[in-house]
Amino acid sequence: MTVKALNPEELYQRCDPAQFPFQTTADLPNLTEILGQARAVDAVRFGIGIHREGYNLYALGRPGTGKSSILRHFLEQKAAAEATPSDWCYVNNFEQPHKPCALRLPPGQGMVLSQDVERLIDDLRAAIRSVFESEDYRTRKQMVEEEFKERQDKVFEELRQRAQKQDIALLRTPVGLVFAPVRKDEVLDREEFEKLPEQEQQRIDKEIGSLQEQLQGIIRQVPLWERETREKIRALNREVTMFAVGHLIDDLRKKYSALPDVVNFLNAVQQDVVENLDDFINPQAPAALLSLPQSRSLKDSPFYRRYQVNALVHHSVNHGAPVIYEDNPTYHNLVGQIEHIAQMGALITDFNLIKSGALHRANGGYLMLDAHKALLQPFAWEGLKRALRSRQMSIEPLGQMLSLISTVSLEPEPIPLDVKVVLLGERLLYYLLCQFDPDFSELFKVAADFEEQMDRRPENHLLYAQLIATLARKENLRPLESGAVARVIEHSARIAGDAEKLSLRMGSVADLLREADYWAGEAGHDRVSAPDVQRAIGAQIHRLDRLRELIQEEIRRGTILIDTQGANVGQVNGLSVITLGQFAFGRPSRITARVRLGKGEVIDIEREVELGGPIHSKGVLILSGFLGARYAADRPLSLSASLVFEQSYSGVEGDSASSAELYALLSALANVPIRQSLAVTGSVNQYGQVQAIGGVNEKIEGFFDVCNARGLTGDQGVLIPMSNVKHLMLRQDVVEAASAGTFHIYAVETIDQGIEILTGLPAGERDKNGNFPEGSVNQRVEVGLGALAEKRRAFGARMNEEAE
Amino acid sequence: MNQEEHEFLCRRILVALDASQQSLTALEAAVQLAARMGAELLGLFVEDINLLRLAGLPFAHQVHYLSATGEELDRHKMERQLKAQAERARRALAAAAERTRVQWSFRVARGRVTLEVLAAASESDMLTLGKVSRPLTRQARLGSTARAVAAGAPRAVLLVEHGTSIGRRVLAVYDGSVGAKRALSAAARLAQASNGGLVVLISAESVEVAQHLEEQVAALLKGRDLHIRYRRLRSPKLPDLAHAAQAEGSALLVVDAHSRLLQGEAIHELLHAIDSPLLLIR
Repeated sequence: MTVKALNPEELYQRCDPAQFPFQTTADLPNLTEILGQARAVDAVRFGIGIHREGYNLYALGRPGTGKSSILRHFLEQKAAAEATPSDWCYVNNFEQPHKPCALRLPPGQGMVLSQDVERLIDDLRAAIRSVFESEDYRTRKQMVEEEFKERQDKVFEELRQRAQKQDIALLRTPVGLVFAPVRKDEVLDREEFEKLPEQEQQRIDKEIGSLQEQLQGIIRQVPLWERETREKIRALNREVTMFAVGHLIDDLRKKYSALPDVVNFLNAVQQDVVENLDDFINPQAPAALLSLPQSRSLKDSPFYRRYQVNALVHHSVNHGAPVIYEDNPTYHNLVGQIEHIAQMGALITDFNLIKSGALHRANGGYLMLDAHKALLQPFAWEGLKRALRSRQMSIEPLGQMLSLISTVSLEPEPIPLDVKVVLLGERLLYYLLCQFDPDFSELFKVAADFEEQMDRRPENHLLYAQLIATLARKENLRPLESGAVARVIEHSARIAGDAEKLSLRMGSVADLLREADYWAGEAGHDRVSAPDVQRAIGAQIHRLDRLRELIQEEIRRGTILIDTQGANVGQVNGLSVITLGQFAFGRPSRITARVRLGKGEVIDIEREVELGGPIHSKGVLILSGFLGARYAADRPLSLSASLVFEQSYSGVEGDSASSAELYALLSALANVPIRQSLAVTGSVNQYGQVQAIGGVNEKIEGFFDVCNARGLTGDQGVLIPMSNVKHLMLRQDVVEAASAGTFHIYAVETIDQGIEILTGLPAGERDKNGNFPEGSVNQRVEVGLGALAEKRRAFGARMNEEAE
Repeated sequence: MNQEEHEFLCRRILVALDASQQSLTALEAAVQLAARMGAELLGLFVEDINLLRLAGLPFAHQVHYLSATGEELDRHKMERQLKAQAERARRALAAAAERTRVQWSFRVARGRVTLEVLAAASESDMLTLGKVSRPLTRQARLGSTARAVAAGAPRAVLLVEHGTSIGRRVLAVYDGSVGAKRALSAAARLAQASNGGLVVLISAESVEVAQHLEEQVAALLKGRDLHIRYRRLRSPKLPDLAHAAQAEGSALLVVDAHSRLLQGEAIHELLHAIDSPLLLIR
């Protein structure tokens, strides 16, 4: 049952450039289909197609899998064929100014209406001014005023004349009017008056009394006449304004006759202009009232602002439905906000300062958001959900929502919302949201799950090549030779960590293409060749592998103790992977095991000091299960073993070292030395089967680098689980060493296969009597364990005797 | 012409006040002129003897204009009312004079208004008053006092319409007469003081005469630092003068009181016809 080293072909699945029917990617057409994302594409098609409440999308997948570009592609395609949604404007509510009205207009009409109304107001101002400055108006107004004055003059004059006939004058005192008997313009004094005959005196007295009554009647009448006059002037103003304004507004009314809301608004404007004529002709900004310099134009005056149209959302005609990507999804950027302007130290606002949010702009179309960003922004997530749930957008500034600000603000009329939201984000976020946000599943019913890998089949090679060609063309890169394409495909498999898969994280592939193009340029090539790609890969690694080199150097210098030759009992080379950012590398670690008499426990020192993770501990506990079941089924497992990762000062996680730990333990129990020229990876189950682990390529390369630095002896190599062979995409130098027979990769399925390679001794199987063959490793282990059990029994008896 | 002989003196300006809006307009004009000319301002309030007499009558009763209510009057009440009115007039004068830093004094007289004003006018260089005090009807566009003063004041009289100001420009009517020269000289001084330019309204029978008169004016005003403009009246008649003055807008019209244009009732017609303040020179 000897295990042979793997053939070099098994270590690296080459992509043969000869299979490609092209010289360079310039010969290839663009890829029109979406590669390897059938599930996600189906979900996206469905999600975009279905028009039901709550069918918003969540595109989940790792960054760089093309979520954004695929979705954008589909959305734009779908949106272009859809109807352009309505424009929306906010206009003044003349009855309740704090509740601006929303106007719905056909696409493209929002801006037109805004300009029309602006022009209308200018025209109205000119028209009204010219009417009120006209001679005709002045004359008519004067006639009304004249009528009043004449009336007043007439009654006073009549009164005066009536008095005069009786030698009585009407005089003014500082506070009123009096009647006085006069003679030759002189008022009679008391003496003179008393000299008059009694009858005359009485006549004058009576007459004055009567005149006074008449005067009082007149004075009471005057304010009524005044009011009447004012009313007449008002009616006159209304009449002439209606005439001046009417035909100007009529034009617009005719133009917008199909839109009753707009017509109503125009009617309201007309009504308001007529009612506020004085302000309309002579608007006064508050600054002007305080004779402060007025910097803003008349158009900014609060009075004119009331007639403006705030074209909140406006679309071009025939532009299709909007596809909006909001890169900064803050609460206000999503739901819109109401801005303020400082005026004389106070912050004021009006409907003109209502600003649209991404939801407004995307209304009738599609809104793409990064889920993580939307969740990070305070209240943005809640605001988004509220809008989607209520299917309308009511702009409520945060300060108002949280009651931080209690000044009177606006309550714009809500706008109905019909939008499909597409969230892009990590898988974890999706599952967390499903778990913790009850609304989420209601609102985002379609999950588009993006793959990270696709099958590496010969027919897919050509499609992948086409994808590379498309990317290169899009990025304006030099065409890639078929060899370069093959190398990229191989590297893609390596990124996927699987010889039978290709990575769909196109972000990394695109980076590699861009970098290869750079190196091709540096080398003066007009096409990207395989060596350029290789150089790009090498440079990528070199930029990131400082720490790897440091560790390799310390191993070489003997600071980190790793033996690569000789044989030791209870000591084996394990392999771990360190991932730092985007770069992962393997690092050999010495694993040792010591055994002594005990109560059957295998102590994981890493766990005791809390440096080991739970999975690692699980792997170690499995070892006791294996040992007990295989070697000590009929007696107590009487050992105490301790296992340790030597010179490991940070945490250890994962069970990929459990096979190595078991080998160390078996070696210690059997007292059989293990070859230090080999390193081991693989997890083990309670039946001794070796199971797959991750990062197999990095681990092999990590041990190879150590051996290679010390000089390959020819018997060095690595034991990997058989189930990991399909993942092998090893570095070229490793493959070359394997071809030369100087480095060996052994794929094992069981612990027995592994221990044979490591010790050079047969593992041994139980014969029909249940005994392992003499001299086999298993027999030695059993003997070792038996001896420990015997010692324990003897020890126990002695203790009992002593106790007695 | 000897310039000294006709030099317009304006050191004391009398302003007749009764605290009415109209008299306050006159006060404002007087203050402006006093400030420009460096003159002293004399305020005069006349307690109308007629009102006091009336208040002595047994049936004296006044009707309040604002409320149409009646009230018994006696002399005591009337005196109190007049005193309050005089005080308001004094305060208005004080405030206006302080504002423009003009020297001022104020005095209250009792008697018939016209006589008292004329008497006081003889002690000043110029009398200023509103065209009317408190008109009940528009027929009274020219009050009795103004009417009497315009006709009979011993010195210059400035009559101001309510709601107007004297502006900076000065208009002078010139027909070549001695009085016209005096008026021209006064107008020139006022124009220099106000720095607003002088418009000479040439009143002549023919174009030749008009030309000649313009040359005269130029000669008379030679050496004065003054912007002069000429405007020829269509005919030497009052309506044309009034029309020309109205057309010039806000400006002070200076006319010789004895001008041929203003014979008889013509002066009252002119006052009726124009809005701008009118300064009659004697």
